[in-house]
Amino acid sequence: MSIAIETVDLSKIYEGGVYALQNINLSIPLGGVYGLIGANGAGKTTMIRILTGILKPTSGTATVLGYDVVEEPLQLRERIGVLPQESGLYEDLTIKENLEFIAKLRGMTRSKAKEEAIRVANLVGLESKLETQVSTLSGGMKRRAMMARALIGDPDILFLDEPTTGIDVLIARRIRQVIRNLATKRTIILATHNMFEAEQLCNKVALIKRGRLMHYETPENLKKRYARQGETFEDVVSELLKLEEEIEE
Amino acid sequence: MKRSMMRSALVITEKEIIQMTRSKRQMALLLGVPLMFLIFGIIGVTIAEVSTSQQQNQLVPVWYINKSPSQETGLIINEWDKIEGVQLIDRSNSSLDTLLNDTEMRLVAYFPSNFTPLFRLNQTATIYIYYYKGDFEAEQVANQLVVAVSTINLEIVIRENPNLNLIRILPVIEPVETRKEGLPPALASIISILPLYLVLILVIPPLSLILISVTIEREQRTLESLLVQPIERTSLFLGKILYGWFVIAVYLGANLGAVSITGIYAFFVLSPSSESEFTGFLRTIVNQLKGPLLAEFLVGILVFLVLSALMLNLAVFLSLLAKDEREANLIFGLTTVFPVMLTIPIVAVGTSETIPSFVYAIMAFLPMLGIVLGFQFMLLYGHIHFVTILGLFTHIYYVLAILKSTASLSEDESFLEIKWTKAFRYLFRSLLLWK
Repeated sequence: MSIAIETVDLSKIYEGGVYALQNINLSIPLGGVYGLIGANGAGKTTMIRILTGILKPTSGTATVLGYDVVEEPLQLRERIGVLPQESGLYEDLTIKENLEFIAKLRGMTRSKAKEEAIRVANLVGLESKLETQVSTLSGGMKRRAMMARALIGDPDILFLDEPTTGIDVLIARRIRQVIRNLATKRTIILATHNMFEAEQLCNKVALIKRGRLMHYETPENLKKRYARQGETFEDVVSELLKLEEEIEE
Repeated sequence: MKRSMMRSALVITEKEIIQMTRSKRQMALLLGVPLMFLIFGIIGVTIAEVSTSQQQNQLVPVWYINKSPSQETGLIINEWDKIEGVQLIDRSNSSLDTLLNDTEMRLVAYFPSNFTPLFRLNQTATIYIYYYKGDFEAEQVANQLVVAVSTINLEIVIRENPNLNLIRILPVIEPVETRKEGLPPALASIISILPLYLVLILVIPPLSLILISVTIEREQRTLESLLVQPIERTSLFLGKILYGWFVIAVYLGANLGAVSITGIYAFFVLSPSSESEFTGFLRTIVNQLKGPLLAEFLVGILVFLVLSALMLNLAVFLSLLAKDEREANLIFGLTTVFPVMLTIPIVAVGTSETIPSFVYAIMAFLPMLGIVLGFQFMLLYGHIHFVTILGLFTHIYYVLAILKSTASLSEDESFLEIKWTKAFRYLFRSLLLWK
């Protein structure tokens, strides 16, 4: 099985000595959805920022599709798409202009960028809204536009940072369906607080607490090992995080 | 520079321009000021025209006594007759004393009987022009008479007597001296401040757009989306700098257009002239700039460009630091005040005559002040001073060093939230060690 992402003793210490990640060893195969789960400030976003080459690790190594995140960030970024936690869309531009801008940044010609904008808008069902200015869109529409933007250039790995946060049930459901469809051909790294989503979508989840990788299992295995009668996946994760906290104390 | 980096920078510049055209506020800033220039300029010229035409109705009488009628004096009188607002009256039959004691006397021009013989012998020939001290209108006309005479190749010497102003006109004995001397300190100070004020008026207003361009990316969380694209980070701020030059060029062009339209309007309204006179006027300016003032003009333009580049690069550097729009606005406010404050030492240094050479050399290194002082020294001494060259080179170095520190800063992993101390560490390292 080919490896999409591999980290060896990956650590990140911010200025002032704050440990964001501590000795993370993780191996994610190609294809499927893999979850990053943890409380706020656990290190999920730091992990994504390192894997996308925005931040440099303090120690350890990380490779994405065989590219070292420190040495080959440009080659790596050509093959990934990122949906950040917050909007990141230009509010005063239309969806089409936002998408074309990113397509051109990724090296496409003007005409190819136009075609690409239409293609990715189709993937998330936004083809009829291409000429709409982003500032007039609803939260759900914005999320879909962001998803479309992350898909530009047909990336092999998608990093999705809380893709369904703050949107209504129907849109969240639609986005989950899009993620499922995308995962048939790609590797998706999903950082989420929604345990239902994690259970439904993820092949495996990585439980991160205070920068440490606590568990890296399938949701079923976690449930099998730790769930008491009638307990949901969310209960299990909550228990595990609490339990770990008690052990640490 | 890599081709792909330049391409990405241009894509970012294009995006910035589209965003700018979408914002009514930004467009109003960009085009509102030139429009105001135009409106106020035309109003000002119209008011000036009304007051001038009122003044023109009152002709100043110039009495002249010609005791030496000849072709030469006829030529001079003929030239005077062309001056607007002047009424020439031949009083050759009266004596000079009678005219000077006449209560209605405003201006008397007296050609003594020896004027023509002396002139023809290439000796000092004098026309005496009298007017009462304090009669500024008469003084102005007297100067016009002198200028008119100078157009027929005479040199003028002005001398005062206790009660009356007296102007003697001497024929040219030698050609005009070619050795050029510097300007008086006050004039040199005023001219040297011009590039600084041009930066203040024409470059700093559009800088506000550039200053907030990165800040807004950070505030709207679009910066992170840019950083995960396969582009060099350098192309990000390069794109902003190119956008900055574009905005400055548009703003500068619009303002120059407004000033030019006002100038053309003023020329035709204030002195109804034929087209050939207008082109003649332009030719005079161009000849001045091509001739004796060419070096000053070129250095002045260079100083303006280097100062503009310095301010622009500094704006992009600082925009990487500003957390939000409020901080960016504060920086912008301080940036505006800085050039104004510099005018004080410039005037002080310009009027001082006892500054040792090594102090000049040190001053050339002072940011912004050094380059303006260099220009001032050129104007004061009438040739390119070593401080001029030192000032220009140090400031070109500053421009490049700021560019370098901005590039280093953008590569820093804490780019999403940069601390001021870290930023200035980069800046000083680039400035002092080129690292």
